[in-house]
Order: sequence, then C-alpha cells, then structure tokens
Amino acid sequence: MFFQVLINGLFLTSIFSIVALGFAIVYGIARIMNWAHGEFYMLGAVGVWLFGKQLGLPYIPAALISIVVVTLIAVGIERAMFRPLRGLHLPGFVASYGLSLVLQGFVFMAFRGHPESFPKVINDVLTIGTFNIGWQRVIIIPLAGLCLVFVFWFMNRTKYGIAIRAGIQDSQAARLYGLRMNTLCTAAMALASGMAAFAGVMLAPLFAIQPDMGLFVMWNAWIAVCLGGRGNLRGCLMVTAILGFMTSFIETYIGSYFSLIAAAAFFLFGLAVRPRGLWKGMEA
Amino acid sequence: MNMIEGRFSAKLSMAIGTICLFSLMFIIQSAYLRHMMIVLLMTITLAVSYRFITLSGQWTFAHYTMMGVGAYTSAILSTKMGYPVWMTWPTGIVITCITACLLGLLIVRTRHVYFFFATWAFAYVVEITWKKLWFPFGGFDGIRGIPRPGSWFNSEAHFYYLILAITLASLAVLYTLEKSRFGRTLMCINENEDLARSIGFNAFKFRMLAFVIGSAFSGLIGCFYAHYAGFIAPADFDWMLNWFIVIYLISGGTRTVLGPIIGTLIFVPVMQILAAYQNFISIGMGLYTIFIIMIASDGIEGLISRFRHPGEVGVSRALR
Repeated sequence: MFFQVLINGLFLTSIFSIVALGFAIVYGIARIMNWAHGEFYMLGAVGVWLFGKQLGLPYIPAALISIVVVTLIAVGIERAMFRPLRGLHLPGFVASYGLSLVLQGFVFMAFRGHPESFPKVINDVLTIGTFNIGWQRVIIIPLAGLCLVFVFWFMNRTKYGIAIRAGIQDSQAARLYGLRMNTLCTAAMALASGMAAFAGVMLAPLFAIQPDMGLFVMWNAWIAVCLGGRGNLRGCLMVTAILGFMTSFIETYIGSYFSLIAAAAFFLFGLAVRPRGLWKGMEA
Repeated sequence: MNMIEGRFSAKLSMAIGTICLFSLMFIIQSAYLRHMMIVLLMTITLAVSYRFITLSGQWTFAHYTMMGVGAYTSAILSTKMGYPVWMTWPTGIVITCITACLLGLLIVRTRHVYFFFATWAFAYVVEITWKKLWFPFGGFDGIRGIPRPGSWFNSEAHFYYLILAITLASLAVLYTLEKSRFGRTLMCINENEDLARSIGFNAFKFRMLAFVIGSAFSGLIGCFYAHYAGFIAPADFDWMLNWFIVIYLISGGTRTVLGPIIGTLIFVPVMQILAAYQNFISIGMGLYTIFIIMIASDGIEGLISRFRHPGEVGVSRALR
C-alpha cells in the first residue's frame, strides 16, 4: 500500500511539474498568469482523441500531431492576445481566463457535453510482490523525467534558453543587450504549451477527456508557481513534489475532497509566511 | 451661484429618483419582474462594495463566498435555534467580518494576482466545507424553511422596499467612506504604497479595513438573500459567480461608483436572457471578457468620459 502511494505521488508530481514548469516560464518572461495554460493540457488530450479515435491514426503519430497543433494554436494566441497585455498582472489574468472559457466552450460543444475516453495503449500490469500498478501509469514517470531533463538542458545550455532566463531575470537589461523580447516570449510560449500538450497526450489514455480536466492540474501548477517564487524553476519543482506526494497520501488515506482543502491550506499558510514565495524569486 | 444650483439640482434629482424607485412597485405587477428588480438591487450593492475593496488595489475572489457566510450564519441561527431576525442579521454580519479578518491576516500582504488566487482558494475550501458537512450546513441540499424577516413580509413588494432601503443606505455609506480621509488614504496606498508608508500610513491596516468593510456589506446582502429566498444551498454561492462580479466591474469601469452600477444594470438582464442558451454562455462570456480587456480597458464609464472629454490624457485602466 505504502509503495503504491509513493508511485502514485511520483506520478502526480511528474504531471504537475511538466505543466507547472511551462506555466512558470511564461509567467516569468511575459508576466502573465496564463490561466488558459490548463486548456493547452486539455487540448493535447482532445487532440489525441480527435486524431487517434476519430480519424483512426495510431497513438504515437496522433500524439505528435496533437502537440504540434496545440503549440501552433498557443503561438497564435500569444501573438494576438498576450503581446499587448504583457506585464499587466490582473488584466492579463482575466483575459486568459476569458480565453480558457472560450476554449472550454468549444470543446464542450464538440463533445456535446459528455466526457470522452481513449483506450489504453499498454495493457500490461506491473506486479511487485502483492502490489499491482498499470504500466500505462508507470511509464509516465520516466517520460516526464526525460521531458524535465530536456527543459533544464534547454534552459541552461542552449542560446535560446539562456536568453529566456535573462529575460526572466531582468527584461530591461536583456533588451539593452539586444535580445528581442517578442521573439523570446513566443519561444517561451511555444515551449510551455508544447509541454502542457505533452502532459495531456500522456494522460489521455488514463483519465476521462472532458472540457474542465485542466482545472485540477492548473490548481496545483498555480500553487507551485505562487509559492515557488517568480521565475524560480527549482522552487517550482520543489513545491510540485510536495503537492504531488501530499495529494497522493491524503487521497489514499483520507479522501479526495480533503486533498484540495489541504492544498489550499498549504497555499494560504505558505503565502502568510512568505507572501512572495517560499523560495527566492525575481522581483516583480 | 452655478455651483449651488448644481448641488441643488443634484439633490433634487436624487430625491426624485428615490421616490421613483420606491413607487416602482405600483407599476411592476409581475412577480418575475419584481424578483428581477430585487436581484438587480442585491447585485448592485455587491458590486459597489466590491469596488470599495478594489480601491486599495486588491481584487478579491471571495465576495460571493462572504455573502454565503452571512447567509449561512443567519439561516442556521434562525432555523436551528429560532432566533429572531433582528438578532441573526447583526450576528451574520459580525461573523462575516471575523471571517474576512482571519482570511485577511493570512493574505493581505500579498499583491495582485496572488491575492486574487488566495481568495479563490479560500472560496473553494469554504464551498467544499458547505457541501461536505451535513451538520450544520445541510450538505448539498442546503438549508430549507428559513423564516421571513417579519410577519408582514408577505409579497415581493415588501422585500423590494427592504432591499431598496439597504441598497441606498449602503451606497450612501460607501460613497461617504470613499470621499472621506479613509478612502483617499486607500487610493494613495493603491497608487504608491511605498510613498504612503513613508508618510506614516499603516498600509496593512488600511488594506485589511477595506477588505473587512467590503465583505461586511456582502454579508448583509447574504442575510437578506437567505430570508428572501427562504432556502439556501452551496450552489447559490458557487465560486463561478465571483467571475460575474469581476465582469460587471471591468465592463462598467471602476473610476467612480457609477461604473459598477452601469455594469450591473446592463449585465444582469443580459445574463437572464442568455440563460436560455447554456452552450454559448461560456464562449460568449469569454469572448466578451477578452474584448473588454483588450479594447475598452476602462469600461463603459471610461468610454463615456472619453466621449465627453476628447483628448484627455492618462486614461486609467479599470483593472489595475
């Protein structure tokens, strides 16, 4: 039982961290709390359903097409909507919430109000002693780990990643050094939405696909970004780990409703102790 | 001379307007329209008290939840313990104030989106508590059979007079507070917190007071609502409703008290008409939100003032 809870916590942490990291990168560079980030996650899963189940493609091509399509949509939205709102905290947030309502509304209409599902790709079960867990669930942990390694490699080793980090640290100074903030924001948005879509694609065979599936993940990603410090990717990862294991333990031993309350309480008390985040972030 | 005339005509028009509002019940006979008027007045008070909180630069997301705290307190006291209304309403308001104080102690130091989301988390927690606790909140079914405020309250018209009195009194109190030294200090803190602190204002205290006062008015409306509807459930204070109030404010504008009133007067009827098209309501609301933020960031009020004073520089945003 305990081992199962641990694996589940790791599973939740990996999903939360992929979504939250993208969210943190976009918030860091564009200073917009993009609530519609959870909708990119949802659209990733919807894309798998559309290309895989409706158009009959195999899982992996459907997943790749879905990620590319979601990234293109997100880049278009960034150019049209987020560029004029960059740096405006509340207007950016409220507009992105409106965007999330629009995207959810379209998916709701496409699904005619019913949740959809996608068949499992891997049906084997991993058995260790008395404990069983589906490979479909386990395989997500190394895949998410690879994704995280890629992101940290990108942010620390490549030219674009270092430029994005410079933009997060001080956009004025970055501009003085000749970096184009518009291009960097578009690149950050593409990376972030691609990661969110990747998470959605991985989860499509496991969870019910429905318009408001982004809420649960966004809730945790949001707490991670607020408590992790602005633009602080490591702090963000730490908070997702705390939230993932906490959710897993509480859901197993107490009840699923209580996990949301515990997450919210953790968030409120965290903000009470450190209003700017538990770890050091950049100045807003 | 001009000024005295202007003041006199303003007072006169306000008096005439008040009389008209009170005599409206002789014209409106349909129960549905009377109910709509009551909802409209309740929402106006909520929106104006919400605007009072935003004076200090904090956009809360727990305004309907605070209303629910007042409503649940009053409902529980009057159904389960049988207290009369003149005791339950003040208790409801006091409990709302205490809740706002406790929440404020935790999060008033946070800024912008952080404050917004922290209050959102609170709204979510409270809603789950109402839904899950059978005693004393009655779970998903809520509380039934809440008595009317007095034996002579037997039609919508009486409730209309009551809520009209509450609304006018709240508007007067909030307007006076805004124009007083307290309101100016709040605006100063919003504009430049460092400056306000350097001349000796306790920013934490003022933000906290603004939050508590605004929440107290929403608690009052909650008490009224519980006794008017006679039945409350967690769905009446769903966290989604908080979005509507944000939309009233950003579409009306927040520059003066008129902004939220205009936003409410336009939006509540539109929402009632659109309620028939559930599938499109979320898309429509989302597109409208994006439109107003991108194009008319100062709300309808800002559009009007730009029309009346063309070429005015420094147009402020409704959302700061």
